[in-house]
Amino acid sequence: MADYALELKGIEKTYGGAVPTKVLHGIDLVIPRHSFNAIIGQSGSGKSTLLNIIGTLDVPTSGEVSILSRPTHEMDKSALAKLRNETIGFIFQHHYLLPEFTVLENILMPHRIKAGKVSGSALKYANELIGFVGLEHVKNNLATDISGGQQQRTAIARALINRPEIILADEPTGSLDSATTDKVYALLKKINEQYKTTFIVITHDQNVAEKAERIIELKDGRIHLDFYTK
Amino acid sequence: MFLLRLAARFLFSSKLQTALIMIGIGVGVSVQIFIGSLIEGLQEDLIDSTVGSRAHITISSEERGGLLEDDPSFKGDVEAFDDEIKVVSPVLEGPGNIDNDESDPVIVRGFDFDEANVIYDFEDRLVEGAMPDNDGFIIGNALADMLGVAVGDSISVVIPQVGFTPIDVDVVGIFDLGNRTLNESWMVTSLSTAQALFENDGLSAYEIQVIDVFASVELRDAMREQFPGYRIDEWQSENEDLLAGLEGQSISSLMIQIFVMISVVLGIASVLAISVLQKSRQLGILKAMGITDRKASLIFLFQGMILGIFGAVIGISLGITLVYAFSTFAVDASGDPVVRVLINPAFIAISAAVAILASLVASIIPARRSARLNVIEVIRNG
Ligand SMILES: Nc1ncnc2c1ncn2[C@@H]1O[C@H](COP(=O)(O)OP(=O)(O)OP(=O)(O)O)[C@@H](O)[C@H]1O
Ligand SMILES: [Mg+2]
Repeated sequence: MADYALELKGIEKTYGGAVPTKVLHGIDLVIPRHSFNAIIGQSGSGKSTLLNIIGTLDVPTSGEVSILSRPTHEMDKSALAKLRNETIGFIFQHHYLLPEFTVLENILMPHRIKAGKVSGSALKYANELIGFVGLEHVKNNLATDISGGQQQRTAIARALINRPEIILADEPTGSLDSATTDKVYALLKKINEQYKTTFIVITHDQNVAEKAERIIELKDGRIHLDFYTK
Repeated sequence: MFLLRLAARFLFSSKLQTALIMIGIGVGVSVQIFIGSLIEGLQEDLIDSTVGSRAHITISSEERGGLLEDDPSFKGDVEAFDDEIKVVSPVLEGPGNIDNDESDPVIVRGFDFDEANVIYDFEDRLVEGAMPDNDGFIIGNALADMLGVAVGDSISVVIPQVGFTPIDVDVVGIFDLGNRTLNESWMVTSLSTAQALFENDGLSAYEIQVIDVFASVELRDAMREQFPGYRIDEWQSENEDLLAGLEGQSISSLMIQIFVMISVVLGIASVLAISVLQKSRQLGILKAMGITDRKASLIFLFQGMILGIFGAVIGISLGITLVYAFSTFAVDASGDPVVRVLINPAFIAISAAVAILASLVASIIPARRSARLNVIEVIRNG
């Protein structure tokens, strides 16, 4: 049990409203540490809903999520915030950088939230990550003054700054061209190998999915297929 | 501190909006400072012109028109009675009439000038001539005009108390006490001359000035206890209308200030409320990255605080400039300010503190809204 990054038990999600719609129907899933997983499925199949629940950004209607053996349903909002800050890195389809800050400042943001101020070692690590994602020459630009691919790479470096155990990515290359997409995935794989980070990546791209070690396909809110590529 | 920097950066990123609201707060604070200083100056002027040159407490005989003994040891006791007492000035006064067709009424007052000058400042208010050295008189400018006399002339007066033979007295100086009634009726001389004129060696009253003019009631009560057998009066009971007027002025000034503050609060609250909407995307991101709801709300409290502090600084500079401009440019014919405006540092500090506090209060609603903001809404809606 201790070696699972994530454990989901009977996750259901129903959206309220006049006509309640059930989006997830009892998802059970175990994700080992250091693994690279892809979630695929048709639009509306519930991928983002599931990922947001995994990341504690959303709460399931029923079921339990454990992150690194810690049951999240027993934690209050500020404990969850701390958990997210220290163990999960998010990469979304849109980069969600803070436009008021520079590339370097954006990358350091999760560290600032965690520590309050920037330590010398964190700054060193941020610069290392900037080198890793190839942003040296724009690191002092405002987040709005760089290209889309550079913004996405900034978001990746930001997701890594607190050395999280888990990275959750929702179509991280959705807004990028195919050459850049390949570069970003090569980068994610490299991080997975170098830093032993667990990845769960939602993608529409069959080529991309096939590079993952495990593919989980959702269909109408259920796990339709779950297999290892090798 | 990280949250403070976030707040500052958010404010700085919308410069125009931030500048406008700071100026808004600044204008509010400067209006407060200006109105407050103006009213305070007005009131001081009014109090000064009412009681600055008159007795605050008088000790006289219990029987109407009766005289007191000219007793230096009693005077000493009164002087030593309380630290608030600035001066005790003996006076002998009585009615007289000018020996002319109208028999114009005058009041002859004899003073000890060492003490009387503390109250009436005759020395500085002489417009012509000199202080009476021995048996000369100084009279008000209005009386001098009415009688057509100048320094060096003499006047015939009848003192009904001692007979109907007119007595000639010399005018050695003319004063202007800034009060028409006094300028028309007072004929002032030394105490000994007055005593000779009235043919007795008593006193009509001891006139007292105190340091804090509003301490007079309390002091009178204590003195009545200590010195029984005298009639002791003080200025406030004779000036209730004036005091009520001052009170009314203070209240209306306070009302103006409260309403100015309310509009400042509403201004900040609405700007910050818009700012929460504008920054909801950023807040969502920060929350996804693990900022707690409490810290998310602190960002807006800090924004309120920064707006308040800078607004107050702008307001103080603007307010002092206004006050300065008013006292420099709003002057009467002789170049004196129309109203002597008072700059009271304590009042300015309070109004700055109120502005900062109001800004904090105004940021509570936006802060709570930011605490409640749901990450998932932001992430889903891009
Ligand atoms: N707030 C909501 N209220 C009601 N229904 C919702 C809400 N959010 C999502 N849904 C519905 O839940 C279902 C799953 O949505 P979700 O975003 O998880 O799909 P997805 O698999 O990520 O799709 P896509 O590939 O287009 O991103 C959809 O049918 C969607 O309409
Ligand atoms: Mg989705």
